[in-house]
Amino acid sequence: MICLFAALIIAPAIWAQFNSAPKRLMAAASRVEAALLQAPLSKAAGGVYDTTDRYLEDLQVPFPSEKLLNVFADVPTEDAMIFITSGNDAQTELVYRSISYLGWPRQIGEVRCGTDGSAELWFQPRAERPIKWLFFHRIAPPADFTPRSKTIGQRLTIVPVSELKEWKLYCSR
Amino acid sequence: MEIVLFAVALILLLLGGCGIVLLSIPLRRQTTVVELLCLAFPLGAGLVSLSSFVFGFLVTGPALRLTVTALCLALFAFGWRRKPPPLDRRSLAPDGGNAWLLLGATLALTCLAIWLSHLRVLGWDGLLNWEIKARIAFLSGGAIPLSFFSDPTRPWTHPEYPLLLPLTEAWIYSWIGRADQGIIKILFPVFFAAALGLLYRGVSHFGSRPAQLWLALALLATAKLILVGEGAVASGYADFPMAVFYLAAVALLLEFFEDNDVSATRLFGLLAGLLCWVKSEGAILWACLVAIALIKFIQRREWRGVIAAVLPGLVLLIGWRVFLLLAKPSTGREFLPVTPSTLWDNLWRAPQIALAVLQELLRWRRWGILWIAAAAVTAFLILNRQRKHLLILPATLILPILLYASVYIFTTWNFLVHMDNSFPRLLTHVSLAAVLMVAVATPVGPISQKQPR
Repeated sequence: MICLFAALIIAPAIWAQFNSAPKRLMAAASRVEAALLQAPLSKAAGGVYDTTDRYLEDLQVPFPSEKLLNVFADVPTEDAMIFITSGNDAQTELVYRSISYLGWPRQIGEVRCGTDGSAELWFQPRAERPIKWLFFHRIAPPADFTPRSKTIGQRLTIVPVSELKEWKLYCSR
Repeated sequence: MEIVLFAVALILLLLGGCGIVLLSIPLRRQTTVVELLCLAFPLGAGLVSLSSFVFGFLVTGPALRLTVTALCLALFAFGWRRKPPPLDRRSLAPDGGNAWLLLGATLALTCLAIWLSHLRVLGWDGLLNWEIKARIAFLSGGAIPLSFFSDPTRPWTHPEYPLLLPLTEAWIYSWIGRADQGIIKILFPVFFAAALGLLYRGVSHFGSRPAQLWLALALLATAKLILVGEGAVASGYADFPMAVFYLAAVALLLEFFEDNDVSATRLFGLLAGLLCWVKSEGAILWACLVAIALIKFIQRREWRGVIAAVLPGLVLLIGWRVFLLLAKPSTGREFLPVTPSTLWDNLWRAPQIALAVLQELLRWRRWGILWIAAAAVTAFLILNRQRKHLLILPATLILPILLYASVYIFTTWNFLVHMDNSFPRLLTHVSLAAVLMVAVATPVGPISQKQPR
């Protein structure tokens, strides 16, 4: 049974391998080039926040993990938070999850803003945990929030809120 | 100072693991210090994580650390009383120039693993599926609070995954006094060193030629995805530790098939069972190994060993399921229900899955010649039936690979994207067993004149 299974798949797979050889060579060459270009960046800085600092590079500040932990020090652990972002890529997801990693035990939800100003709630804190803080990532917070806001780099702003609006109203900024 | 405390945590873990080995190994079996330590490391990780999990319901903080420490020391003392470990210094010294060279190459490869781990940051899952739980456990006194499992904002951490790796990392954090993403990377080269020791023991015991040890090293060094990349040593994922548990269990299973010593199945049962505590997929690997072991039990009508071989895994599987039922983890749904109708509806995926499997196995830039060599050796073992007991080795590779591949019939994702994302990592689980098989069965170099140690 196994031999039959193997025989059925070996022939087309080997054919596919040979048939696509030139394309694969080109793709392999470009990947090697990309890997070489990325090599200096892939070196870990070391230290307690070795990995999260790397994942938070998007914030473009030194020691982003410690800066975020300083912000969290002022946030009660029962307060829930929402990360609002206009990004829709792996880097944004890394930033959100790294913030959530550092923010434990606070519940940190996520809202993704579409290019058309729509909002999609990805992760929502429990109803019994009041949302009292908003993160704005790659998006400007409403102007009336500015006096109370804290910024980490040019891409992340943290604002305390007493009353929430519809999510899409934050996205339309 | 952190390095000293890291070493203390590691030594206690090793003592606990040594205790388990000495308590469960057959009394007349010859076990070298190297093999003892290499078996003790995965078993010690299992002991520390399981006891942290169980006792964590009762005590936390220094009391939990003290309880686990006492358990490790007590097990070591009981183990020593039953079967004192071999401390013959001559058995540790390499015997001849080839052995010294081999030791040098092994150390070089271990240094490479350490350097690569130092160079790289933890991978996405390494941090956000595994280490995050270690940090949460550390911040909560050594045990993960129940509220974490049902946290609706963190389902992406996969709270339903078993906890061997996170709670072992948390054990180290509890000793060094902080969650440290840099220091914890040292843990994975230790798993790598254990794998090297287990391969050395396996190849020198089941093989007959000194060159086979070099072949094993060459296969390890050229399979890039064992050292770097998602699931590799330097990623912080649970996949490489899983490969070490699987290798140890396969080697002990092979020993059972060769020596017919039922008492050897105690240790096999523990290591195979712990696969279910490393990662969810461990249940598949455990089921494959138990199915192969059952063949031998049925052939010999030897039922005493069945309980020792099956019970640890069964207890862990059922225990974890019951815990998850109570904890109600908040988790996404990645797979459809495994029913005949789902199978029938998605059977059209099978040829494309098979093709993707083959393409991955032939991806030499990731795996070197490992899988091609494994296929050739499988054919060789089937045709050349002189060492029949070695035939279980291809089965320990083919069964899990077939089952892993068939899982994608039930995925809710785009199945090819899902495969591309996770299948190479799943192959890591059986990669060390593949290295053992290829090295043991390849007739390379002259036959050894000396009794292998």
